[in-house]
Amino acid sequence: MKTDPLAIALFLVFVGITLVITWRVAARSRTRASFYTAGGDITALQNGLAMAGDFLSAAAFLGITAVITTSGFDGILYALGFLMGWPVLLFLVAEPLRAIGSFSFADVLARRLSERPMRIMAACNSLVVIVFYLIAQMVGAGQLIELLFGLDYVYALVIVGCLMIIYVTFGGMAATTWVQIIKAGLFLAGAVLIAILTLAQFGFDPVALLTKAVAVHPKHQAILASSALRADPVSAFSLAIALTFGTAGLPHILMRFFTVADVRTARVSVLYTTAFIGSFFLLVMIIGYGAVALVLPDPAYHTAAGALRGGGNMAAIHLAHAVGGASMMGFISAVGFATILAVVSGLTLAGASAVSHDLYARAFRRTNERLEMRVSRIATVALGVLAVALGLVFRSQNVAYMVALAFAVAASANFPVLVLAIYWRGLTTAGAIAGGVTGLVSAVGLTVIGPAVWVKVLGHAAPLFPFDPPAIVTMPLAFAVAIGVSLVARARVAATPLPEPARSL
Amino acid sequence: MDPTRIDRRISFIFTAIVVAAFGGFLALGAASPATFSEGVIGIIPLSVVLAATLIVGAIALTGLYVLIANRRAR
Repeated sequence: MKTDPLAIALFLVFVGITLVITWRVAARSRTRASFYTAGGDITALQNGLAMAGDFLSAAAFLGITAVITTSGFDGILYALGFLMGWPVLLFLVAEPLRAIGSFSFADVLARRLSERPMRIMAACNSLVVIVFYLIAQMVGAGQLIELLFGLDYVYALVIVGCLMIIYVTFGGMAATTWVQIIKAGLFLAGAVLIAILTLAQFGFDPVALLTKAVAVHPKHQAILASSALRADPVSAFSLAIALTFGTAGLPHILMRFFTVADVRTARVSVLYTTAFIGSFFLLVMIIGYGAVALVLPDPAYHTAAGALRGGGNMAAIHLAHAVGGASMMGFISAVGFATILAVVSGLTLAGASAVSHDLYARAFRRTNERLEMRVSRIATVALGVLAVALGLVFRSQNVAYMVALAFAVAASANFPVLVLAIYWRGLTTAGAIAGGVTGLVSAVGLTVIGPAVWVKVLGHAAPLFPFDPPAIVTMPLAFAVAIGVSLVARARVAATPLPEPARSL
Repeated sequence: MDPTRIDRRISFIFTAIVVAAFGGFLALGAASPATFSEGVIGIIPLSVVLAATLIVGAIALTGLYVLIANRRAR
């Protein structure tokens, strides 16, 4: 694809503005509280936008539009799963998390249970989730930027890696938040614009749009119902579980609740986020079926072999071109790049805080704040370098399963332990560790032997485990193990006879 | 008890509503795909109408929860 000067100009403007903001907030990001949580000064609207910016990755826009374009309604199932996680996160986790914690969700576990093992487990689980998420983002970033800007994959990764290191190292949470706010604003504006321009092609009549989409799609009427639910309902339910409950276990999302002043503001910020994400997914329905109606029948967007130019993920970009010309496409391309930068910055900050706060400062009891900040910045650089390296290693791999895996791990390893720590007094340290480790190992292990890796990546004929993702098994398993081990541990303590002096007391 | 904290029963009831609504939607799609793709507004099928209702409902439910929780906290 030809490099678009408008896309490059818009992207440079975005980078320029965010770098100026980073420079301005750098002086205020020298204390632990300002670095990890922007001093708790973020307003509800700002945090709502930032959480939407953190959550809506390029996969949410390009990926869901691509699924709607190829399979129809199945893409909307993904959108619903992503959205339903937010009310659940608010109702079950957000309030106690904000009330008890200070920098990370491990604070809640450490307050209830034995601190050191809880911190180590929470940090390890967080890093696993973050690394899987980062790999998917970096590989997607490299491929997307290569396609949109004509920039070499390696240079694209290095640029993304360097920028995220600069944002996080110098600006901490304040700079990361502003990157996400600006990106979310651009992202939502872009989606509104494409949806309006698409509807305008059909006289603002959604019935006419759907009628054309059904007429031109090879599957016709079948794009209006879910083929995934019909073909493999258990996997569809499992995906819904991973997306709905995984959101409440994503460390970079949970961390955002500490950036606001109090519990009330945290609640209102989730309302803003849910409204932004929900509105965005309503627009994605129009964009997805719009791509079917306008891009699929147009030979200009197809190769000689009949495939979509640049692959299925380019459907939204082609639609932008179809309804708004080169300038609209340039704008959406720049938004795509900004999206990746915002998401990887949030992930890197959460990973750095897991290393410096949970492991270095709390698990290993190093109390020097200056040194903790230094460790945090070193961890940021290390994570940035690791992200670029993993992006290169996984370059030619199909990494689409990695985001689902990150959600499955978050739903299986973090969510059960966090919910039990908040709501069940019977949880013991041994139970929490057993549940967290079981969730992590089972989610990763069953994904490897499941259809996404065993068949699609490793090339075996049939999977050893049938469901993809495995959350329908691994999340209840983690709950059961945490509860079972806690009950056994408590029974053992109760059955142990007290020594004579204690009995006489 | 912390006055800013909401009754846990309300949290569980709201969570149950979300899970039941989304689970019911998926169950309907799995059990009766034909009903799912039936047109209810012209060609616009029940699946799309229900999906849009779920999205708007999730936003409304979140708003209601915030209203209740923040009122109680006063």
